[in-house]
Amino acid sequence: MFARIPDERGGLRRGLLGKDTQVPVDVVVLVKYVPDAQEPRHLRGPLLRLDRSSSPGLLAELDEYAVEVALRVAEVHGGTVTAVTVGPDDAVEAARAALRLGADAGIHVCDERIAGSDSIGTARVLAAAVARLAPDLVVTGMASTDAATGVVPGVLAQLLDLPLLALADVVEVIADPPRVRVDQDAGAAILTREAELPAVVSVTDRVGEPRYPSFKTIMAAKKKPIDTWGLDDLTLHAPGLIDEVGTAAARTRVVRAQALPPRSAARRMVDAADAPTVIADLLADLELL
Amino acid sequence: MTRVLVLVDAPSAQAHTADVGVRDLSSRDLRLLAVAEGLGVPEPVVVGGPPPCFEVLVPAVTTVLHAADVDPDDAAVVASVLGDIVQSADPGTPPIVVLAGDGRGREVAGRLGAACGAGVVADVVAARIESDGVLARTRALGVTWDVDVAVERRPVVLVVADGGPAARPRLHAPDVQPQVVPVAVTQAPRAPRLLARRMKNDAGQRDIGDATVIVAAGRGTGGDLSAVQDLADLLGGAVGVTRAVVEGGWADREAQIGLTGRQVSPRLYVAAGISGAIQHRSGMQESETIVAVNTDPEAPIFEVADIGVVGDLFTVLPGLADEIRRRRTAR
Repeated sequence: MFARIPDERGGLRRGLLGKDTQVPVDVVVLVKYVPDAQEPRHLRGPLLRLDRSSSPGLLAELDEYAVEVALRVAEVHGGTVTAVTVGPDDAVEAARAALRLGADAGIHVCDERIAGSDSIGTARVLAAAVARLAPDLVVTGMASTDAATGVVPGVLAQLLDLPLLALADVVEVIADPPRVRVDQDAGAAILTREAELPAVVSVTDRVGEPRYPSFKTIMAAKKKPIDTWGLDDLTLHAPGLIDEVGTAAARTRVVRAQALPPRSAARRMVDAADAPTVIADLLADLELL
Repeated sequence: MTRVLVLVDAPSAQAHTADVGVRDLSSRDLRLLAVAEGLGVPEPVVVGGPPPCFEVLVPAVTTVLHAADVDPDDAAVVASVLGDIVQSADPGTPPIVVLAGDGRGREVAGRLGAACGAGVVADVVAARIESDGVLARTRALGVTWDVDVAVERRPVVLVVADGGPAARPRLHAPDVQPQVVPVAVTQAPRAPRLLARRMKNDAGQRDIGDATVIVAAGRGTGGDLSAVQDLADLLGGAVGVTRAVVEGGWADREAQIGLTGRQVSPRLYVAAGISGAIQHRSGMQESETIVAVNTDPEAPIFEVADIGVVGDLFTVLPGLADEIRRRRTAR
């Protein structure tokens, strides 16, 4: 019903069926709760942080694609999907949204000492949570829709010594031997690359249309567990983590922030009939004629 | 003087011929070099291929680092090459690393941030040295905010934004050829394997990042890009598209402009049948001049347009093409 088999352009192809599907692949998907990008967003306060109170947040749009890929892998290979998020209290909503789409469990890493971390520090926390869960596959979106630095997958791969297949347009998990194969758009060419599991994959918005929650998965989500972990629950898997996160450990600091004024456009409206003449005059002025 | 490692692609083959040109470095690489030049002595780092030949480069360049026998698409190995250089540098003045904002650049940035404890700043449009660190100007929240980020100590990794005002390094022929220094490679242990590389049919099409004129097609074209392509060809420009056009299967993702595509700032941007969702505007609103054609007078694209035409693009664009041809013939 909702497990749409994607067309040739993108998405997860059903890998080898038969006995290979008996080897379960446990997937961790990283999700983030962000302010709605359709609403005006503001950097405020002494530390010029993103104001998350002015409008209700949501699961980052680009993370929906990561959840979709994780669910499809689990459907084909019979593993579990755990959604992991880091952030203050309301960040748990990102994990809840993933459960409503069909994920099996959620982990919310929440600790006051994490506040003020930069993107590398936050990624260190995510890496520690992944290390504790020890999944076969980690799936992330291409970037968050707020800070959008896009560096988290690289941090994860480096800290966990895992291969990273970044910005995948097509993802296929093959059971025997366990590996993940992706197509990546490298400009002039499409690259097909493969890595043994465990591995990290970041997916683009081309990987297949994310599903909507169904009544069944929404009801089921109410009974699914979301564990809350603090930093002390992660130190076994990431010694020294506590000294690498928070404001004091952040290597980058926002020192000035200003909303860009709307583009100062001439906004001259012309009739369709006059358009060729007016635009050709413009081309002449720009010496583009 | 600060060493600034800049990960660039090797200049294309044409750069070795008589008609030498910095044009053969991509506009993206020129942008990286411009940011690097504001920080210290740019040291281009080229991965893979034969020893690079920079016949024309930033005057200050004296050294080019070259790591042969490395797949340039393998970010894990590229990161280990750069990490080795950073770790082995004079501890008094660790280098600054400047990377492009593509997938490889962001992966390398994350890996260096984790491996070398580097401060990482993304979407940088300009940067300068400040005391022992770096002050970087960035574009944040979908190019709606102008944000300065300080990194108080090195190493520092800067990921440069694709769009924004076109930065150009000061370029002229150097008195002496830069010295090419080979760099040893430590293979990353768990790198993915490359199984296949399929060239696209439209390879060789003009890259939208380098184009002076972009004619962009939105949902309003219904997938018929002929009028858009004709005008782009006439103006020596490139065709760009919105996400809707890519999702319709009407164009390749490489031409997608916007938050999940490319950020561009050509001299002229013609938006045809594009409503102008905020995600698209964040990829094109720094264009020098914007012309928009749309049947809906309420389309938000008109808020950022210098010239707005409420009309059918299938009439307006061919009419404009005819007018251009007429004026050219009359000259």
